[in-house]
Amino acid sequence: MRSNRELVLAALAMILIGGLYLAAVLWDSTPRASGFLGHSLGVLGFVLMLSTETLYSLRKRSTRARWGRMSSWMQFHIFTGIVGPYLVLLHTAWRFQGLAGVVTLLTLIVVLSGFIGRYIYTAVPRNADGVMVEVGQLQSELDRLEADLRQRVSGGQALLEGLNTGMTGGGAAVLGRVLTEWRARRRWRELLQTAGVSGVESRQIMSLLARRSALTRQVRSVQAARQMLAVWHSIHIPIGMALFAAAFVHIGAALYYATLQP
Amino acid sequence: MTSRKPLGCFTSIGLLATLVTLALILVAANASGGGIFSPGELNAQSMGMSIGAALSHSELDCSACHPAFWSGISMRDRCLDCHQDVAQELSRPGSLHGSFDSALACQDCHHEHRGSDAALTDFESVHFPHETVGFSLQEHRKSLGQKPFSCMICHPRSVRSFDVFTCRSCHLSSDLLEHIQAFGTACLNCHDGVDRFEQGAFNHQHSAFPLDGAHSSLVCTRCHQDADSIEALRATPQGCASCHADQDLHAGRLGDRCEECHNPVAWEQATIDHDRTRYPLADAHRQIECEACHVGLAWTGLPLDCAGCHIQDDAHQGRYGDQCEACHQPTIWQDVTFDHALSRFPLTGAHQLLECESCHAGGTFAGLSAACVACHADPAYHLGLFSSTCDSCHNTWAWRPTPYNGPHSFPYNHGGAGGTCATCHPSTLTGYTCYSCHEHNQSSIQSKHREEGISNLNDCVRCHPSGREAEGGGGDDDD
Repeated sequence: MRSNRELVLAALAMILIGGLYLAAVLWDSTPRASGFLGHSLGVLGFVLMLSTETLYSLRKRSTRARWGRMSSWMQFHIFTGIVGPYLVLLHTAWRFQGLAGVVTLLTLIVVLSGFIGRYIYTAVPRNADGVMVEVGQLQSELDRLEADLRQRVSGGQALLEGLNTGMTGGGAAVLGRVLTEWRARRRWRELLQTAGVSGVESRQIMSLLARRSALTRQVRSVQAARQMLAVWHSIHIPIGMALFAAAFVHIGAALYYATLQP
Repeated sequence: MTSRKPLGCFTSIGLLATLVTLALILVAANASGGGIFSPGELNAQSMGMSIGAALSHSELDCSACHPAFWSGISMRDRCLDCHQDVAQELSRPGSLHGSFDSALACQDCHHEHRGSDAALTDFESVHFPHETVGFSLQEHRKSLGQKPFSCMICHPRSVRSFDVFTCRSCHLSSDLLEHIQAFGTACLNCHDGVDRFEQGAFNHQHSAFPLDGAHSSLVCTRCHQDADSIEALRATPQGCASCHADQDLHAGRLGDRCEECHNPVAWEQATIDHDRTRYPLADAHRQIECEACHVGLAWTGLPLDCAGCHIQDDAHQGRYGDQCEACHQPTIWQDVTFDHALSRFPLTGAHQLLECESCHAGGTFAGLSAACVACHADPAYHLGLFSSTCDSCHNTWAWRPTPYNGPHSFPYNHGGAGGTCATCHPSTLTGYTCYSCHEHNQSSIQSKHREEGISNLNDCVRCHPSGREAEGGGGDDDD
């Protein structure tokens, strides 16, 4: 759950904001985009989106000013990347006409793209600071884990080979790891029960097996994950740039046609 | 310091995406005449006449209403360029638009970009002082569907005209049919928009006739019959008799100020203040039921004297007349405080110490004689000697002593008697004796008179009319 803290916080923020918005709708009517509340939602949402796009990237490229862990900045990036667009969506007053509609559509695409990017991001092995780990380090840890596992599993070679289920790699391992790991866990549990291993020992072995599976997948798929992340970046960034270019034009038009009109 | 890897927006693909996007927006903006910046469709409803060069806003491009903000021209100017009738109204106080605050902009009331058939005006931000035309919009902010009112709802033809039928078109569906049937269709005769149309919502307590008791549950028409204007409602008579004359059990005998005794809760809860009548109630009279005196609900014309009601209770059987109150109090009959001094026989002397029955034996209080002899018989001592005017000699304190100044042939103070009758008249005034005194010792007097040859000694006065001895031929002394 801890790894998904930013998603939980974003969900809570959306529920809170959605409740307030619903109250405003029931109290009066749907807040107009040009009204005080609608404008406020749009301005705040855009500021959060802008923060999403800039702060994490700046921190990632910083070599001296190491303010906070990369993983924390990533969580902030995801939080603002969800809540900001949500505010912008409420700002639309559910009307998607013209350039404003295009901005909303691009926002939606960028958010969905962001979810995909996060999924790929978590497939790339990183240390506590969020820095990518090299294959050699992974292999060393995997060797130590294998030795520990052999020492604990007393069911013989057949059982050890059986417990190798789920140790996959490649692009499929990156995108389909949730399904693969679920199947492997079920298989391990069955094998350990058959071998008469249960209780605390079973749970410890299951934990070692899960860690070994993750390390094996990361060793085998680290290259594929990095390639997919690069591809994702090449798609996500242009869409994001298109979004912000359209959003700035939309803001300019709003200032010209409404706010600055005498 | 940052790494040499540029931010995403500065990558070639990022910059390319930005430029492509801006180029596409530019093309689309040109192609749509700026329409891509429109937050919604413009109103396409035609008023049947040309507004400027167009029949509706939807035919206009952006610049027709939105001048460049640096041009010094406002959107209000652009509106009035086309809506010249409104421009003329603004200069006429009392006209529709002339009633607005001059600081208002057109778009404070008229909203665009809300759809081709959406209302251009709503009351969410209307500042038109509608009460100046005789009808407040205080209670017309939202329609029955809880949507903001637009002018068109009440003024379907023109905001400058109003058909009262419009009221019915909405309010017939809000359970006011009965109200309209009772008071007519000229709604504006009574309603000024400040109150609500809801049945029973009008607070009668703020009127000149607050509704209390049974009045509060009546339907309006029970009192306001045939009232079809506020003046008619206000002219409704407020006197009880105006509505309740046919219920008057007193048949008008008590006048028409019912409220002096009755309250609005129920007729039966009458609380008359009898002290305000000609016959204030006191003591026992306060404890009895009204009907004890007002038999048959006869409230007027009742006698005010005691005998009028209590003649049958008169223990004196009429002997003392009908002024009972001269002796009796209103508490109980036995509470009597008679002032004898006011009678023909004021009590003085020993009479004050007597019980009433001593004189008024057998409960006889009237017709008694004031003469002494009526109670006091002539005593044997002077029986028949005097008239019945006892008070010539006696007073009311005691029979004796009593001064006697009447005719007396013999000196009163003979032998120092000092006017004490019994000295010479010990048993009756018709006889006397001279032998009560030691000077007149009977044996010595007889002996002395026999020496003179006088044997008849029964009437001393015959020879001694003044009591002097010499009068009979005796010695010189006076006795």
